[in-house]
Amino acid sequence: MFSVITEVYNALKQWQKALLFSFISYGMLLFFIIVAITFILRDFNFLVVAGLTFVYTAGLVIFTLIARRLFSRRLVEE
Amino acid sequence: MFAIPLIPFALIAFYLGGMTAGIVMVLAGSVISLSVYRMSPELLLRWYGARKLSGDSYDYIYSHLSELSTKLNVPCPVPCMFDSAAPITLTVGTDKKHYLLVSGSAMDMLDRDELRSLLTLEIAKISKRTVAVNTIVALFAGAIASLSTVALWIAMLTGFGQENDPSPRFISFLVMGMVSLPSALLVHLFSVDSTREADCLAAEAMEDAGILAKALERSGTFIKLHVTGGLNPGHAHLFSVNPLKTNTLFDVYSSMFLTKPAVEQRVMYLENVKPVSQ
Repeated sequence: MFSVITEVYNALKQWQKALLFSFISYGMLLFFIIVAITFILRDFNFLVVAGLTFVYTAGLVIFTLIARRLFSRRLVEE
Repeated sequence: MFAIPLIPFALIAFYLGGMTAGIVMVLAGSVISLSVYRMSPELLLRWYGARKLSGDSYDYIYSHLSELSTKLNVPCPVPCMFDSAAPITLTVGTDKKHYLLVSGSAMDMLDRDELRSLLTLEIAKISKRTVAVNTIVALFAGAIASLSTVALWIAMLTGFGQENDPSPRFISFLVMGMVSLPSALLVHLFSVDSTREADCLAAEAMEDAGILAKALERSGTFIKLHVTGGLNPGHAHLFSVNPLKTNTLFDVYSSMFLTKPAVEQRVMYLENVKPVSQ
């Protein structure tokens, strides 16, 4: 399993790795948002969290795909 | 161009407050846009701590710039110097006034002919009229990208450790992951890359394009082989050669800002350019 992950990771170009880490960073931001919402509501509301996660992740995926398209057009690879 | 994001705010103001609020918002937006346009070169000069070169010590730079700007019919830029370990040059400015920044390392490392060739390249960029747009883009993209440094400092000041400890670096890496994407998108969407055209024009304006090729090659090699310090990736499109490195995992985000052709390609092109007189 790890060998497959390593292989896929090594096959990525530098800017694709950067995009992947950006995606993970934004994912971690979602975790902190969920923690903050749970504290504000003083309870874990599954529907609110699931809805937020869906909207946030969908927006993030679209944003990343647009970025990928733009980068692949203009970016100079080393 | 940068007034475009203000349109939704003007429409919201018009919807909520009526005609007067809409007009006030449009006027305020116009004033802000104009101020940013006018102030962006000075802000970048302060960012780099640039100081004007004295005419007495560097008269060869002044005379070269004056001669060349007359030849290419562009306003003569004000030469400035800033402290950096990377031998690079950049030009910032509006359509009317330009500042040409040369790093201290470039002054020390390059000989006079090579330095003149880089100055010619910068003047060629001015004549392509891309400096004003690129300056504003650099200001915004650089400000966004520098938020990771702010995060690093906050992490250090709140007791996560010192600069080279894992925790602050990890926090800075995460924040850079968040800010580098919008910053890089800003550069890709709005900056205008005129490197090839400027290279071509500079080669035509010079007697020997090989000197420019040599200067670019020396600068590029020096940056690759030496520790040249962290330059803001949001400003990378301004420099004469790409100063960013993507060697380590922590530098991986720099790869999103590479918009200039590789130095090797540019050198190959310049070495094959024949002087106009031949």
